[in-house]
Amino acid sequence: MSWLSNLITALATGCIYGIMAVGVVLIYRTSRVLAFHVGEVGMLTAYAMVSVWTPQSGALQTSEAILAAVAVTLATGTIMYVLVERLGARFGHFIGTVITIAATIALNGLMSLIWGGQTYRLPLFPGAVAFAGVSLPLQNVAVIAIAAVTLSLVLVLMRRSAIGIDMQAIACNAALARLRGVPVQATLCAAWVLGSALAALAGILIASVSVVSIEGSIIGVSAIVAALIGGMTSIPFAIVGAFMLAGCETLVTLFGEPRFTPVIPVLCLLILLIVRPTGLAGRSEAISRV
Amino acid sequence: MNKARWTLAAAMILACAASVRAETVKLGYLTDTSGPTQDISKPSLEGFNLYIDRINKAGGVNGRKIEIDVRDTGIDTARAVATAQEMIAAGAIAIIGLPLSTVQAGVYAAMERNSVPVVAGYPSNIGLVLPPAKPNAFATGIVFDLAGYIGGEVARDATPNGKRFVCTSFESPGGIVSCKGAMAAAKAKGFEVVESVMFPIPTRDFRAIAERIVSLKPDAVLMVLGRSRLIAMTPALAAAGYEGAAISMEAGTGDDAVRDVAKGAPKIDMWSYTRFVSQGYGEGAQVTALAGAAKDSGIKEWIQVHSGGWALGMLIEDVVKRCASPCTSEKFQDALYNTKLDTGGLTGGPIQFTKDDHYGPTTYMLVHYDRAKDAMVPVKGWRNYSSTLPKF
Repeated sequence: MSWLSNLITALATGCIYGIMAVGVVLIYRTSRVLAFHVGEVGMLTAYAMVSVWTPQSGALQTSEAILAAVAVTLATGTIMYVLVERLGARFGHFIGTVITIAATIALNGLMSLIWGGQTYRLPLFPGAVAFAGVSLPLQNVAVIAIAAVTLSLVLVLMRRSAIGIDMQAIACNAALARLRGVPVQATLCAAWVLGSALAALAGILIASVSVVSIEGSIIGVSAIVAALIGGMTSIPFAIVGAFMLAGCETLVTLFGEPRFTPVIPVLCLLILLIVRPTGLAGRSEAISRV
Repeated sequence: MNKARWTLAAAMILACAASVRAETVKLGYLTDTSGPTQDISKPSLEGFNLYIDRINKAGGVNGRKIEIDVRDTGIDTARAVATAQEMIAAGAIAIIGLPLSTVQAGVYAAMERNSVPVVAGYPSNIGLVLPPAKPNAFATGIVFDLAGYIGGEVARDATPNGKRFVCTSFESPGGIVSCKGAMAAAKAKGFEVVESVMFPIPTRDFRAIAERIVSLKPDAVLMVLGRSRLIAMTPALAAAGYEGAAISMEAGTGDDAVRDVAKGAPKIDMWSYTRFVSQGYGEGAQVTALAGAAKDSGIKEWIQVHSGGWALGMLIEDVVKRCASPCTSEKFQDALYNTKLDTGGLTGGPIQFTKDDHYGPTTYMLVHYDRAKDAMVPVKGWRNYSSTLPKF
């Protein structure tokens, strides 16, 4: 067991949590909905991909697998947006969160129905690379590289592109953004699709380093906790939260008692609530009262 | 007068017809077709149904049809107990199936209060069926206490000169007792260092856990994982640099999964040990019958869980044969107490129950993955084990 190998494992896990956590933050900031269904979206996409792709697949099948993943992403993002916006407009913000909880149950059932609870391998990056005399699994290195590119693109998108600035405007004040001519509905839809896309990518990456299985959707919990640690409103702090969580989990597994890893997210949240209730970002938001 | 006689005769014929209809023997089958163990529960039920369908098509057991009420309970104990109670209220005389140890203990206890026998089939049971057994608890599958102990013993065959042994499993009652037994047996077999690495049930990302196992420098790793976790754990062990023997307890894993992961981990020496045969090895009348039935129903490769389900079907037929009409829970349980069933090659010996021992002596076979043949090859044939465990 080398420290470098362990560090890379922890970093890769943090990257996967981070990608999904950013999706959670994007949806929350624009729609004020806590997206409980992100883990399921991730695994559904991984299942769709593994149905088409095998380790022996050529370029054509790989393209088909990517198309299948994109189709699932677009479908889940759009459907969730329509449901949340239609029902949320009538019944308020909380109904949106309830819809995402219902979606977790529905998507679990859908996966069970289609794939019968089977577990599949998705070895997208087999093999190892040697670095400083240590053999590192390529899957971990690839995950870190993909995450670095993805998260950089998201940050650039949010700060430099028109749609990103529109999303931030809606996050600050949706009514004012509408008055200023921001296409609120289209931008919200884009935020849901982007959130789904990030969840899907994280799902594919976690499946590539573990397996495709319904239980794999538990990664959604880690992503939500990472987003909560970050304060739910900040993309950079959600990423920091993801690395903190992954680091603690890896340390406990390697040097402590692996059975206690499910306690880590709860413990992190508890400490956060005591020390910094508004999250690492430290922004507090007004809670609307009925 | 004649009219009265005719009426009486008609009434008697109707009564007979009614009693023939009542000859159906109703059993409740608890399974998991929607939860996390559905990948092993479904083949088990498939094997069972193949056998029972065959019996019913042939006219039933001594003219009595066997009616199976199959219900999905996930692996939710409360739901399983409530469903079992519903089924006995609806006329089931026994509860069978039960896919996971987590559910079994609760159902055994609840049914004991109702004096209803419970026969857990494949894949797993906890030691309530070993002597001194609970009055109503029976099992035909594997018993984790025993199977774990056997795993520790066969690890010596996999690594004749091995010094360090690690058992890894998830935190279910079965997983915990398995590793406890395995470590005791490995110690008795001369391993100098024996350890266990347990992890939470939902875990599917095994990279850090594999690193932890590799850091213990084992010569043999016993994996009490089941199918989905084995598929995830073995590549993680390979990626962490493990190059020793990996022994998979056949607990619904399936030879197809073992072969698949072995191919992806060329430096790991892959083994498995099993109570039931799988497609590719084993011979006997019932092995041939199962192979034929599986082929007819389009099953690509039948695995140990199919054998286990088929054997449970055989047991039910045997017990119903000896259960005098009308077959009640009490009579069914009495018939179970005197069971000696030849499984026709599906296991190495008969399934035997007595008043105190509701599992009986068992046999296990160690199989090794042969890379050249891409097949699981039996090593040394069947080995006999008593159902009385050494203290550990």
